[in-house]
Amino acid sequence: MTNDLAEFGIYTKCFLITGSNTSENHPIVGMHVFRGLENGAKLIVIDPRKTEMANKADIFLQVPPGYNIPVMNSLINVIISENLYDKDFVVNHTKGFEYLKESVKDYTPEYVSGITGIDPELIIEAARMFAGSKPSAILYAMGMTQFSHGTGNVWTTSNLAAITGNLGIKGGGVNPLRGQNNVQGACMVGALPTVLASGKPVVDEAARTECGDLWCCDVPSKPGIALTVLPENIENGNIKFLWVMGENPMMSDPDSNHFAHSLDGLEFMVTQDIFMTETCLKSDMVLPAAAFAEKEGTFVNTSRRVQLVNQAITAPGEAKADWEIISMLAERMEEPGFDYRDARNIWDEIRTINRNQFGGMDIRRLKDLNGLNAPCPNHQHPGTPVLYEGPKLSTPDGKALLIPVVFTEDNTKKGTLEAELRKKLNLDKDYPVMAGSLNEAASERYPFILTSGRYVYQYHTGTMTRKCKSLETGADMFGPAVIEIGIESAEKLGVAQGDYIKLENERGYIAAKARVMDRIKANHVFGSFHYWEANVNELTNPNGLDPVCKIPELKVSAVNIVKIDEKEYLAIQKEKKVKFKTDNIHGSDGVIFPAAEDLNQSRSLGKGV
Amino acid sequence: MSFIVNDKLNRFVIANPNKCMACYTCMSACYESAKKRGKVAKPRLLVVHTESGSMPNQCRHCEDAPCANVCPTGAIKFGADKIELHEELCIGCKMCVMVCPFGCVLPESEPMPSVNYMFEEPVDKLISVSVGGKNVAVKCDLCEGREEGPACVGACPNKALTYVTPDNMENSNVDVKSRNAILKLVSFMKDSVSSKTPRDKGVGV
Repeated sequence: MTNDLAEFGIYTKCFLITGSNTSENHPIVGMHVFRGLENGAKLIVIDPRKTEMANKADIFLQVPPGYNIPVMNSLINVIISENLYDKDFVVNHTKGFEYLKESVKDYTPEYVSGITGIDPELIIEAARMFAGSKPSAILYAMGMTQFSHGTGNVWTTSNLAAITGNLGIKGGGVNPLRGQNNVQGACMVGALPTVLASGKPVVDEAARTECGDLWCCDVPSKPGIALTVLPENIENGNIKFLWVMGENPMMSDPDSNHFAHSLDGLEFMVTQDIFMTETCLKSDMVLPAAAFAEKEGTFVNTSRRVQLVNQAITAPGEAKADWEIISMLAERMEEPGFDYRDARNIWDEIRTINRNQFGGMDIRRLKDLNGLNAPCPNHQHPGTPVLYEGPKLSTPDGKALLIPVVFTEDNTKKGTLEAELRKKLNLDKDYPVMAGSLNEAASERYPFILTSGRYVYQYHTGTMTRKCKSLETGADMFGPAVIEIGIESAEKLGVAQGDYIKLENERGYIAAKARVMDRIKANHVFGSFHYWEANVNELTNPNGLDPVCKIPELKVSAVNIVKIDEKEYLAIQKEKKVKFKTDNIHGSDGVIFPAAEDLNQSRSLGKGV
Repeated sequence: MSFIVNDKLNRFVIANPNKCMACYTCMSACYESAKKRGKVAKPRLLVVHTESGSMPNQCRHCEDAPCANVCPTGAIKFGADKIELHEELCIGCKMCVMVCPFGCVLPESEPMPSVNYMFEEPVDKLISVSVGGKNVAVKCDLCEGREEGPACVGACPNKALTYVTPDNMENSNVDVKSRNAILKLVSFMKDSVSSKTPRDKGVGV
């Protein structure tokens, strides 16, 4: 996030939430947005589903899954054609406005209305509202990024923020909402295939030498392998050993049948987690890790705020903090440089190597100030809640780059469209530009578009929340696995509330109860990846990755739906139970969902399963 | 200025839909409270999603509560300041479920600890299982026996839930609203009288 989430309640005058079910999936951010709304801020929501945020929105644009580029471009189109953009900002702090203007010229509200079904008046009104109330913040999440043109989607948000002058000001900015408590931190310390621990790219030789000098070793110059191309790399023998830490790719990765099959090609697999998971059961060895309250260290939240975590309870059984496990392994391998005393020791090393971001954040300051926002390069620095203040951007010349992004409904024409645009605008070779499209469209065989997401009461693949009885039998009132289906589609299929349906495509099939809702339109259906009973990732498409960041198109997959009876449903449930070996997760000692103390037993499993 | 509100009024919990973000924390807290107090471990308020908005729905503790009127055993009965629920007396006749105008009484039972529903036929816990506990009426009992009052109110992160008692009903709602209503009406009448109806025409105000 370019801004701090606490600013939403105080400074922001208009929110544009796109591709994020904020109140369900980021309730804390949602709370700050609600505070802003109470102070009179306006809310625009762009989403395929009428979520709780959409219910509270002033303007709701119900976009079909994957049509973000046309909608964002049409907002920019209206803002430019009605002269609502921030001329001073555009002239002094941006580059490429002419390119952007030319690329969005065709995206008139009428044209976009034709392909998305959104009322053109609403688009015009939203554009006026966004440009007219400054500071305006853009919030987005996986509904923008998980596409084959995810990077392009993100560029459209930064284009919109830049031409309205909403960068570098309090309460504005482009705000991607992070899905985990420390995903921002993991990226900042280089837990990415292309980034070093210093936050600089692997291909940068000076940065490699810097890291190598500190660690007394040679840092490989080739970027690593992205998680999303893991299966093919196992299959062609590039990967023989896999160590999974705190992740459940069996459930969370696209096309889980193929993924599970490819794992069989590994020579050895280790999983390190706090509970028994579907992935643990696929591996040769399970290492018990300590949970958040059982270790110390720091978490970096979505607004780059580094917060201290203190140990509250001792870890059960043989469970250890992740860094301890790594250190112990390094000791056995007789690798020097891993002999840390405690988490503080590691934090000091991070501060040394990434001085620009964390240099001024010693433990004492973090404790006294209750967290600091990165970047904080020295001890006098108060932290940076708002990036690009000045405005001064992080590009070499300090100017925001406006990037033309276009969209085509025909996936095969993506390349030609991009080349045409380059030629038309007479762009340099290395000037970024993107033409987006969708890998899958509704066809006669697979007439429904499945989009995926999360529900408030479960967290991701349920590795933690599904073991919590007060959630499973208390708050999670819809029970395991429902598929949300629109009223029109349900009528067409003859499906009533609570009927069993089977979703299938060439990658697999799942069965679940139907939840007929008017908040989802046309031929769209919605499912979650929380439950092994019906995990949408058995159907999602692992191919056609985003060219820049290799993210798969998890939000759009074409499926067919058939109504099934209870008997068939139960048969499929049994199959899934065998597939994910769930007997071993939920225990076979006569308890449906073992209480926390029982699960501690599985935490002390130090050997193979 | 004070409006006399009968302090024998029933208390109840209600949500502000403008603040509620449907995060279900109240339902979790309710479950925990019920379990702790030895009641049927089921949430007594349900977050309901509608096209116009979402908020939890729970017992209004009606003054002339239909559920208490129909209950043949006194499991649901008129208490001093609420509609009491005595689960141990309930015979599961479900009359209360049928008469509740808000859909806030539900026949519920807990999964029995000795039965493994995961592997019992049919396997899914969503399907009503053949082996099960006795269903009894379950509704909000305002966390009877919990010193801090209803658990949901304290658990709500956005302070959307209010525990309405005669005290705060009098202070925050009735007198403010009636004052504002009269203020508006009188000023409107004054304006319209002074502009349109001359006093000497003899029209009384």
